[in-house]
Amino acid sequence: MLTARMNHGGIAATYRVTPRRHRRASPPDVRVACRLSNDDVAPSNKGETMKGEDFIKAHDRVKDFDWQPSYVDAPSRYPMPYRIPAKTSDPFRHLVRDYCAMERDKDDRQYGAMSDVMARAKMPAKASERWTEVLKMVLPVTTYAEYAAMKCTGQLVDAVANAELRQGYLAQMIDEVRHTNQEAHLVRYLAKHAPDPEGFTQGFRLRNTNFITRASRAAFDAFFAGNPIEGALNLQVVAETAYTNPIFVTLTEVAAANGDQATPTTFLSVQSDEARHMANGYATLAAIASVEDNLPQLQRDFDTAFWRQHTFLDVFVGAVYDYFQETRGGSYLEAWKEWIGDDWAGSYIRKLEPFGISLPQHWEEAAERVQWLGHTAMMLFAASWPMQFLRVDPLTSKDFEWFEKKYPGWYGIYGAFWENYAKMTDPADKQLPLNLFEQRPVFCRVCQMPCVFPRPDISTARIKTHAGRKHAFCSDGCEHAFSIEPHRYASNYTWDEHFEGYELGDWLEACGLLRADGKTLIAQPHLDRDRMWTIDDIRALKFEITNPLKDMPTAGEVAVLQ
Amino acid sequence: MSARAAGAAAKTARDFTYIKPQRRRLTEYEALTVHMQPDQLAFDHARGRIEEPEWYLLRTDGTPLWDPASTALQVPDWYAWRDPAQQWQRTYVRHQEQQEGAIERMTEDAALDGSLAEIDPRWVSGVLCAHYRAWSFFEYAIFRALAPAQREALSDTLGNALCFQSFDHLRHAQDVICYLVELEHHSDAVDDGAGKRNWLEHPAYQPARRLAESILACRDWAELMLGLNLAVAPLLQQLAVSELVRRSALPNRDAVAAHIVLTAERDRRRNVAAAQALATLAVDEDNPHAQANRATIQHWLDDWTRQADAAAVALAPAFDAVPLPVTTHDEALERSRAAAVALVGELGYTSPLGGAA
Repeated sequence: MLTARMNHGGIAATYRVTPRRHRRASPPDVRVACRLSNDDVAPSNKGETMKGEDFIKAHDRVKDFDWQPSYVDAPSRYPMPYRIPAKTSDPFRHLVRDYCAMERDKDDRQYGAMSDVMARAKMPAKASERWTEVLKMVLPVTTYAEYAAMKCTGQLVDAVANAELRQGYLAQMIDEVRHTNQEAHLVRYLAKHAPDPEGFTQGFRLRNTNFITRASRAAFDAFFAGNPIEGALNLQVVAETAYTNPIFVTLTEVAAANGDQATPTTFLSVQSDEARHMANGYATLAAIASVEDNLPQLQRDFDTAFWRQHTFLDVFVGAVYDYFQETRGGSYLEAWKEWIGDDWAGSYIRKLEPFGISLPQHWEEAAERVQWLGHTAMMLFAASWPMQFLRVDPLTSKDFEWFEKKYPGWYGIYGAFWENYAKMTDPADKQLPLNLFEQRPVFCRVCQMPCVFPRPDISTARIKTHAGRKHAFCSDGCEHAFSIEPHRYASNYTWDEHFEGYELGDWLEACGLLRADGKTLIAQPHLDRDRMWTIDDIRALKFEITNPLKDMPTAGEVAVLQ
Repeated sequence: MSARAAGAAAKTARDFTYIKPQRRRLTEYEALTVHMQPDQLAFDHARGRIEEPEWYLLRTDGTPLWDPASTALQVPDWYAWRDPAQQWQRTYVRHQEQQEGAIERMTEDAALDGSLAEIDPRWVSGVLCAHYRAWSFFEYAIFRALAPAQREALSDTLGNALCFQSFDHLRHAQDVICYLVELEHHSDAVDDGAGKRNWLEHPAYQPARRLAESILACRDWAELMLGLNLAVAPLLQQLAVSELVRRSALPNRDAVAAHIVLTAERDRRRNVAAAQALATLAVDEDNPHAQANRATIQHWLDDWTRQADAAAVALAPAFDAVPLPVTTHDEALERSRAAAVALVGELGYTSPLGGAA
């Protein structure tokens, strides 16, 4: 038995994988657990209202509800290129009764704390403003991920004809409603209590006009756009198992260090459900891998799922993690190496190699890119600050030291930009940092991210054509995803295709990016409320949004793969 | 803070003012539910040069993530629908935890005071095992059908309501199982396998199973929401569960079964009210498709009512198994039919069982 135990400040997730002698005799046995406290999810029978044999008996009967229809044929509405075994390991050993008791208890603790102690102590007002600002974007992004996850589990309940897995999917479906509500509640809570609420109240409304939140849609739509297993790979195997620990656990340490107690209270309660979702993902993966004919399609979908989530999550979380800390601790790269490199890839995916599942095709490239992604993204984000809906604090000399220590060589690549950025924050200077760049980036047709990664000087961007239309791709992985299924991008436009020709001031007004006075921008390039930029300051710059893709040369046709 | 900044801050909204509340004030339910699902046609339209709705990633078959063709009804703004019960996850789970806690305590008390041991074995075998356990498969089918229905629903408010209703039915199905597991300690008459045998083979349950399989095959989420709650629930669930189990349980000394059904009835009332709200929205006078929607809904109600009625008629033998009968199948069927006719009549629809709008 191979055991990998992850432990962070009392929070542990344990994977136990038991390979069988004959590779496909049965699915690999797996137990996944997460321990937050004695009152949260536990792998034992704690919290179960029935005892011992009665519980086992009831649970076995719950799994015996399916029957073969004989009157009306009801094929799944979500056809899959996979065969699922009828019996598998059971990732969810709770009855509805136990589930309700467990979740109510967690809800009472989370909402109770927020409405009582934290509000009375005015904790949100005491948090670092630099940190609080980024929550204006983080929370709408994560909230949509939860909502998309709910849709994924609805598909899985329908398509996966396996009673063990269905029970787990049902609980996850309600969990995802829970998380959607929890995170929306946190947005509303901060809108009420944060020193500067502007942006909190607009985040959901702007999710299709901001180029970062558009990219989050492109990543999370994959939870439920394709066949249900493709969705489960994107959601459960990659996003939840690889990335929720860095987001909901490690990021909360950053939040707490910066005086924000509301986010950890919410996120750790969310994460207490995620261990069950990881177990769902593992059980699903094991079930599919137990059928040898599934393996080629499984690896293909897994490769694409990993790249889709990597291109958004590592870019976004990396920038959030490293650039909005005021009281500084660890770096995203350190968190990534531990949680994703060692635990997810090393202790989870690599252990599946005997069963025919390999690390994703572009794993090594991703591991190499991750040291740069957040920095490149944040440079572009800050350069385009008026288009955001939060305030971007310039870096200080203390920040510079931290970055150079955590990312040796950082200053040589990004230092000059941040020094210039700090000099361009006053509206009286009439300068936009976007003008520091010779050319504005095009946007990737697949991930919707700017094609500047991993770094502008070593960008892997390319322009190609397909069906008479020009497409930019940020990487091999995104071009590959497109080449497999180009028809799935037929109703897809990039940010600059949408907004080409807008004068920036007009665009800001059209998108509602002004504060309540109708003049001051929501976004600012600093936290100083005495010298805020107005729409007049922006109009004076006569900045026009362009679509550089139109004039760029192409490198031939996309090679479509069957 | 400068005067300019202070002026801006003083008027800043500290709530989601982009949500149009149904009543005067935005409720917590609305704030945490509305516009969680992207609306590519309106709320989430990027307001750029591209007028058509955009989708970052289409489904494998090239259709949009949320497809207007997922239902035959046409409503200009699905996001205008509100759950009359205003349930969001916390209120919903708290409510279900309370219901489950009450069932659990009642079962425990009945076990300790000897009540469970005193239940007539004929009630245990003939009604609880042979009928109620068979019925749990019908509940499970609704759970299964509503899970993908919530995926396809064209707004967050509707999707969440369907999600909660899906959970309702699995809860009810599991309650039957848990109760019989406990009863095995107190009665030799428990035969858990009888339910599945009847469900698969007994003639009395075959129309219900046919209906369950039709429910599983239905692809229109709005049809499921309206058909299940406005046609199947008031007629078939009323007869099979409320009339047969709940009404007969107390005279047959089974307080627990009666209580389980009471909790399911509470859920049913919530779901019926939700379906009524959907039916009302679909034929709103400002909706240019109101007339077509009314015809579609009438067709659905006719179809599901006929199937539910066939299943209800076939359940006559189940009533014969009640040791101390308090009603006959004919009487129960008449009451259930009347309730079903009245429910659709209130919305201005006719029923194939009689009665006019």
